[in-house]
Amino acid sequence: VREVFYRVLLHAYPRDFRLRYGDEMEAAFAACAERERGRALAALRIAVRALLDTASHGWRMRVDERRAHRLGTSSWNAARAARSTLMNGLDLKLAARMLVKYPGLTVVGGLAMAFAIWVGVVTFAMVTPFVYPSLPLPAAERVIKIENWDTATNNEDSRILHDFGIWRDSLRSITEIGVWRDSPRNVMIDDGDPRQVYAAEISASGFRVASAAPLLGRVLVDADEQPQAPWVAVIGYDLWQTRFGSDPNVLGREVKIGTDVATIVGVMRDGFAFPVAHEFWLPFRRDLVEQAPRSGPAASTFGLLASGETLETAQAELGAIGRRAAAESPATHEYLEPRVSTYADTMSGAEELGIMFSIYFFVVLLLILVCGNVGLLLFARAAARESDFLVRTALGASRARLVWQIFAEALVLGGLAALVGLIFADIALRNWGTTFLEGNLGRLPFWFALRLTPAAVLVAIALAVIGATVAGVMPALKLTRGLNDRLKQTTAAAGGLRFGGVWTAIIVAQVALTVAFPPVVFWEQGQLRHVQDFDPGFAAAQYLSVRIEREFPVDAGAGADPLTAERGKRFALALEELRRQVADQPGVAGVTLAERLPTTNQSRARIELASDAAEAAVGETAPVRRPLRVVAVAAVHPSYFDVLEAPVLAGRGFTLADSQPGARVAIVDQGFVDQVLQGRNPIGQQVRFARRPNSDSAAPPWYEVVGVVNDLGAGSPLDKGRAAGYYIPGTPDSYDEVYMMVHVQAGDPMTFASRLRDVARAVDPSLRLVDFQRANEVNAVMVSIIGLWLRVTLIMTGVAFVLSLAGIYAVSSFAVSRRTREIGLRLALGASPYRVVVAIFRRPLAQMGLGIAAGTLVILTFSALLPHTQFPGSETGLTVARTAMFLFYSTIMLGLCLVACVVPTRRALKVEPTVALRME
Amino acid sequence: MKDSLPDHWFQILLSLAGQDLHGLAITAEVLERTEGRVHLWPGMLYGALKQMTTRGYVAETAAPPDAAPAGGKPRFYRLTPLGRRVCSAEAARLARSVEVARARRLLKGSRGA
Repeated sequence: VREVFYRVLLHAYPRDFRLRYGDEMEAAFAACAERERGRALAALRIAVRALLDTASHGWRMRVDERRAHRLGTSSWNAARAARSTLMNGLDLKLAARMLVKYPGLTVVGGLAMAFAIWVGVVTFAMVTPFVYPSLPLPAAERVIKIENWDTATNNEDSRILHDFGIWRDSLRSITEIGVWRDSPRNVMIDDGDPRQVYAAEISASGFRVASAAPLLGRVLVDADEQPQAPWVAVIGYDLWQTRFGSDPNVLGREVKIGTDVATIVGVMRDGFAFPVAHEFWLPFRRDLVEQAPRSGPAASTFGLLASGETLETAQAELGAIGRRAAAESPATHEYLEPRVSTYADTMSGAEELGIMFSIYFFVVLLLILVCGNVGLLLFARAAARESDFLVRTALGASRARLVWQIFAEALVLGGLAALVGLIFADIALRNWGTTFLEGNLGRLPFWFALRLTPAAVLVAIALAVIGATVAGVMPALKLTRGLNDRLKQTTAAAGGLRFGGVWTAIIVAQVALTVAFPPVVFWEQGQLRHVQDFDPGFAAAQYLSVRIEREFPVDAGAGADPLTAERGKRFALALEELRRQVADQPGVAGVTLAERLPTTNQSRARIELASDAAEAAVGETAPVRRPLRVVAVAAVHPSYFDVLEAPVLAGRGFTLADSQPGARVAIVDQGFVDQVLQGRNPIGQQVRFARRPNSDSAAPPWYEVVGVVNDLGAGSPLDKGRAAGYYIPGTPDSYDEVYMMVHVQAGDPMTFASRLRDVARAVDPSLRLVDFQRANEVNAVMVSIIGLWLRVTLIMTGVAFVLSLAGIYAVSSFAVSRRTREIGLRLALGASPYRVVVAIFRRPLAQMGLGIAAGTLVILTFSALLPHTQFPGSETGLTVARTAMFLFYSTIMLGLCLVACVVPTRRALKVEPTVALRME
Repeated sequence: MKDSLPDHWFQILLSLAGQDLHGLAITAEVLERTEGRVHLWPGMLYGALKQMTTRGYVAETAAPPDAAPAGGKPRFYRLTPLGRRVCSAEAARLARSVEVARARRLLKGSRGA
């Protein structure tokens, strides 16, 4: 990037100078850059110094050269000089003057281009960390990780602790090999804040790999890893600031970690989050490393390439160790292949690159569309200066010279737009970028710094140049075509210049897009409303919800072995005790547990009814509408419906006995009765999960439906239609995930969070409570993301609308100025003003009409297709009411387009016949 | 022409007073001698070299046989007699200013301190 950057800059120097000194200057620049390396903000410093150096010296040389040329004492080749001054300062000055003279065009065109550049830069900044992650560590290029790849399943096997010991002791090409995992210990800080602490257990070498010095105290050392050593912890800067109030005496304070207590021995500097996104570090104990092959908890490794080693040499050494292990213990290692790779994951697969290219394809497409429109405006403006160009041609200006001039106007506009786009991109990245990515991906790794890099600035410049080329060169070429022929005609004002097919297509597409956008906004708003209004069926605002994580790792091949079963039972008992104790707290109306929270994505399953088989056997005719057989399943605590205050409409609720193994009962909601049973009596129905097709396993057992409740937010708000809720009773050890819901009688339920944490700690310090939320806000992230999309679409709609109006205005005012003489003649001959207006605006009006018709057609097609998609709220397609609405809307759009013609029409009608005729 | 030489011109001439050098070596010599105070960026260096060549202060020359290899085929420069006179005139001008400063006790210590 650096070399390309400087090579581009070199073009600021006169050509001869560049040819003579360019190579040496590149080498000198590389040396200068090398000297700046390692200093703070090195890349920025280098870029700024190089820009200043080039701007002052390159510019001065050009000025001197021009002066020498003008004085006739040039030592340079005159023809070369003429070419290098093809686009000179005068062009840029003239362009800037034009921008001031036509502020409307500057604002509309500039903002539209700025928007397109903004989209490009923000996309680039968001995508780059995925494709070319760069670690902000001093030894970044040497930091690596080692993974065990199971070639039999083509998956990573993260139970590497046994192998890690071998790698650490025998690898020569990789040093400081360490291991880490997300700590399963519950870190509790006594400050009443219920937020989760992101803790890692990590080898002490991690701090050496990251070359990290502490702000206070010390980092972890090898001695801390000994099994008998007392627990110590190092905390992150943000954690120290927010949770310890920047206490300078924090060293020596104790923090509870699960059932143990750790002493804080260090505070890291701001920004340190190695290995991924952590803020609390505990030593990775040596005894945990001693595991049998391919067993134990999941963990990850890191290390540093020894000096003089490369990934290839390290892989060769690692491969030899892997082959030896496979030969010695084929039972576990036959298909395991250790692989070394750069520390930060890079996306380089064909699929990812495909996605990248398609993103950029759309960015460039958007830019071209927008700039095509800006080009239309520039064309209309330049056309008004046609006589100007004719005169210059007569004086000997070449076509290229004129094209350059119009291009310069677009370039200045593009430059301004790039500046505005960059400023807003910076604002967007700082304020919303991280939130947006975290909303989608969770906590971001420390190397995901969303900011404007020099590369992003280059992208903006490139986009501005592409945009200027589309917006400037296209109209310039059209305008200057056949200038010499036109010169031969005596009249300039009535010249043969007209809007051609390309411009017509652009205007039609533009209007169609403008017409099609608002319904998209309308539809997105519908989605947003759908998510916001998704009825949980109970007073969710009064409930506090929290997720409970398990202390033991779930990934370590959790089967039905006695140890796991025992741990599960203990976990269930602890939760039952917690539930009981929380329920006894003052102000608490009830506490329950469930596998999923209402209105969040409950798991879906296909079911079978016993009555289906009976009907099939009898050969009864199938019902007209096929009944639903996919339901939203949730395992819930027997107290669930009581605590949510959901009345049982028929049958009975769950009892404690129902949660015992072997009690196969279920409760369904009204949606189930209406859609699955189609109104039949649900009580006593036999239901079971359907087997996968071609499955050899035994048929799952039947469950008996014992009760019916109202709809309680089953399914997901992003699913289409009403879900069928199917609840089975169960104890927490059988849940995929465990959520607790607390009904708080008065006030904000969030205020109960810290008390809940205290109670949990008293019951079992190993219980980890995370993600405290009000139960009515569990979809807040989804709402904010849809909201963000809505805003982006709104901006796009605005841009499209303004551009369209400006385009129509440009075309109609162009038509009037082209035909001033004709209007004058017609009026002089007694034509009615109405007929004149119709004659002039026939073409722009036809374009508008065509555009609106095309846009409406697009909307109608999509509306008709909507019921076949999976989007929520898309059950109804093209109704009469909707069609009428769209037609009405199209009429309004036509009206708005006509508004853009008002000024040119007035101008046309004001043409004085005598004045028009005198123009000859 | 102004009566004083631009500082970076003077520094370049000074570095060529000892031996013939190429561009990169001039930058390194100046940087070292001025303890990092004068950093010649490429535009500044080669712009100055070109102008000084035009004025006859320096001239391109063949690489000395004992020159350290520096990648590619860099141009070497040597000080012309005119360049030497210009450089010493500038040095004398600066020396006069230093004398005045010393007489007015603006400089601490003796020569070379």
